[in-house]
Amino acid sequence: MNSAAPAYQKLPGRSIAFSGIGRLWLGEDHVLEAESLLVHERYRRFFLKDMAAIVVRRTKARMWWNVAHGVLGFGGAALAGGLWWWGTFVKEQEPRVVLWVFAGMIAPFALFFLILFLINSLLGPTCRCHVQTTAAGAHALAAPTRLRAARRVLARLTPLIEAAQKMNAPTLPTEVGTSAE
Amino acid sequence: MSVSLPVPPSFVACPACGFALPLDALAHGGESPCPQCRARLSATLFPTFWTPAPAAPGLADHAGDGEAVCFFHPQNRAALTCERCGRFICTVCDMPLGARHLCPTCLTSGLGGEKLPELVVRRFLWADTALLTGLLPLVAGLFVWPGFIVTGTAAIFCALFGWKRPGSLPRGRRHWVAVLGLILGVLQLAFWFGMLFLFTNSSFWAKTFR
Ligand SMILES: [Zn+2]
Ligand SMILES: [Zn+2]
Ligand SMILES: [Zn+2]
Repeated sequence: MNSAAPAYQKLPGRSIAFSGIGRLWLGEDHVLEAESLLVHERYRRFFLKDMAAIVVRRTKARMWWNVAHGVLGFGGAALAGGLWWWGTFVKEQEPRVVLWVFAGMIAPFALFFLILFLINSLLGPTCRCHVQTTAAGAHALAAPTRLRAARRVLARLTPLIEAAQKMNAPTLPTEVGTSAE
Repeated sequence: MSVSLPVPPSFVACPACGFALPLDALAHGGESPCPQCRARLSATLFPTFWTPAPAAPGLADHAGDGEAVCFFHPQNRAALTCERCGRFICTVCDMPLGARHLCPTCLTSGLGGEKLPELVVRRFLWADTALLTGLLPLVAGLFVWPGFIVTGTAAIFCALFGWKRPGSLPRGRRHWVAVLGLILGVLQLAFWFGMLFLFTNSSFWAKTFR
């Protein structure tokens, strides 16, 4: 074995949580789950030949994020618009300016949450991927957390897993037969 | 790291409720609801699920005349070669490490100093620490400058100390991150000494011209 680090390829999808940023990497014969929290990384390995099943469960995470972002975004936008509209009816200058300043302060926050709402919607449905191995049972993978990325990961892994499991039986070294000479 | 069991899982459990899912519903590939909790699932089953991996033989065969023998057991026939040192080993000596097969010597030597990448479960990222300690105080604002002597030194230390240490396992060592941390650390120290110089000098001028 050489001391060079094994080459890994990045697999689609990631997750962001308090436990860190989760990602999957494809190694030569295994999938590496890496969770990095600022300056520290934790790893788990799933060998292609051990994977019995991958179950993808659709989750409601996108809906709940959309509810949260939507309430803040659309609510904020309505409030800002309402204050502005109210201001146009006020005759005196000072209260009108106060109303418009408030509207102007709320608007950027509303816009921020509306952008999050849009991004979250465009990223597609959320999911959780569970890998079931012959040895260790089922494990909920840290990533991917979007259905679209999960399908791409599966499309990438399925042929590799099937190829790895064709060679299930331990093979004899070819040198054994010829070593008599 | 995994040890293969002779018996594969005979069912797929619903990840939400643990219900054993009907395999015929999963086999068609599309998304289908869990019969118990209605979670929307799609499962991909691989060959290992249906056909168990053959159980590893517990005993080694005796070597016949002219056959390759195990390095550690001259009476046993070689079944594999160690994928690290290339020695012939018998089935008793076979130490499967994930997908690789190692001899006992290579496995024990790899357990010590994190030499085998298969055994690494966590890494501390020195380069990222250098960048963080180099960058964060500068972002926090120049008014925290008295602390630059500590954070700047720490950034330089982390960049140099971690230079030869392994970085992230999948990403590899990223020297540019360490270099960036080093530069920012030097900047912090330069700023700190510059401020010190200004303060001492202004008080010196104040004394001489008054
Ligand atoms: Zn269920
Ligand atoms: Zn060896
Ligand atoms: Zn042996």
